[in-house]
Amino acid sequence: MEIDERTQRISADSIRGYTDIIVLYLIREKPDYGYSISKRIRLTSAQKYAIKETTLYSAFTRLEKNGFIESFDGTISEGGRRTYYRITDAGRDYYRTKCREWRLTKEVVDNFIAATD
Amino acid sequence: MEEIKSYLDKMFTGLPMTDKVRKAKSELLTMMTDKYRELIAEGKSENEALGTVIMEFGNLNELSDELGLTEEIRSAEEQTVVLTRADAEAYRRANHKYGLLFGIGAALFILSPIQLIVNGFLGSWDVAPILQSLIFTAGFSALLIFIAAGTGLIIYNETQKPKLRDLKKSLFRLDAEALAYVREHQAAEERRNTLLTVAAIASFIFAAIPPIAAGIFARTGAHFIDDAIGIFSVIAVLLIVAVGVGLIIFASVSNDYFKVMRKERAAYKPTRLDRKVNGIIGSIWALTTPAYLIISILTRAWAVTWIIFPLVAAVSSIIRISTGVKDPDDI
Repeated sequence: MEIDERTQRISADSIRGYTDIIVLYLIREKPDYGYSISKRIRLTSAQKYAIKETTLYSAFTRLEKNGFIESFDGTISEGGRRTYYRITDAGRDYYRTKCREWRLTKEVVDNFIAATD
Repeated sequence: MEEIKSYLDKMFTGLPMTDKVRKAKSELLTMMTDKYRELIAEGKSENEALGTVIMEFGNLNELSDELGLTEEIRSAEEQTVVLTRADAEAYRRANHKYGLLFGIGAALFILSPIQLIVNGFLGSWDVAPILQSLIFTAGFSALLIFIAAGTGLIIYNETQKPKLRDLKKSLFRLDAEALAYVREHQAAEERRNTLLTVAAIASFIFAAIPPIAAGIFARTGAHFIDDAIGIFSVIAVLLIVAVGVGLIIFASVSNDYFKVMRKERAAYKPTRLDRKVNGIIGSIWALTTPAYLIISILTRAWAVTWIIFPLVAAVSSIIRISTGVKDPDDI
């Protein structure tokens, strides 16, 4: 895990594999659009993770290509029409699988985390 | 908002505009604009907000697989020069100096006949013919020295020219700090440049005053005084025009810096017609100064021959307008 000592923020590299979980979690109850999702990531992570626009957009396209989310046009903003993303049933299954995978990973890795540090 | 758009345009320069790329660009623009709006609403300054948005943009490499453009993105990244704050500052200083020297060089050209005019006046006194030709020769030498100094200055300046012109032809973008630096100076300097230009144009109008005044006052009947008044009015006109032209050149060179740094600009690729027309216009200009000197020396009509410069400028504008070929420096 890499943490920026100065800002106490998580580095993009160490969280890369979990962007999918993060996005799916945030749209599992209702659809949402790009910037709103990015803002909620920052809030939910208590300012510890500020996702880059390109990282987020690449997660959207990847998830959509795999059929885990769907996009549709929504409200108009100054920068153009906002695209909303909605989770699919396959996306919910995938989310549950990823959660199980994370719990297992966490359980395993936790065994190797020294108490003092 | 325009800044975000032109930042994205620069990031996407050189990429083929497939549907996927277009969609990615528009979605990224929407996200960045939303973020910018909110930062402004939170009370951040435009510079801070833009800095944050650009800092948190990320890296296009991340999208290469999704966009199916791994190769293209890599090669575009490689070709793109990223300018830092230090680069932006160095370009600005070098460009400033370039504008100053260019302006002074042009002013020297305009001032070159002054000594000749004064000496012509002195030589018209009742003096020995040998002295007359001596006075004329001295004036003519001064003219040549001014022209040589102006030419030397401009040629030296060309060799020192900041690579702004090269920059126009390459893919480049500014990093967040460089962009902030350019923005920091833009408003104030563009305002100053406009003021200088307006002042110069106003001074051209006022340049008509000395000859008019001379016409009124040079009626003393004493040849010497009347001639002196006439000569002074001509010198005043030359001084005003020289300063005005120098200022206009400086202001336009200074503005050029911001044009280059801020404008979204695809790499310049001249067509065959572009090259031909630019070549012809370049040769006409190269021949102008020698032609000016030769014609002037032969006819001694220095008061009229300078017309050749605005004339050539007009001809080259007509050529550009009729062929639709723009000056590469203005693209």
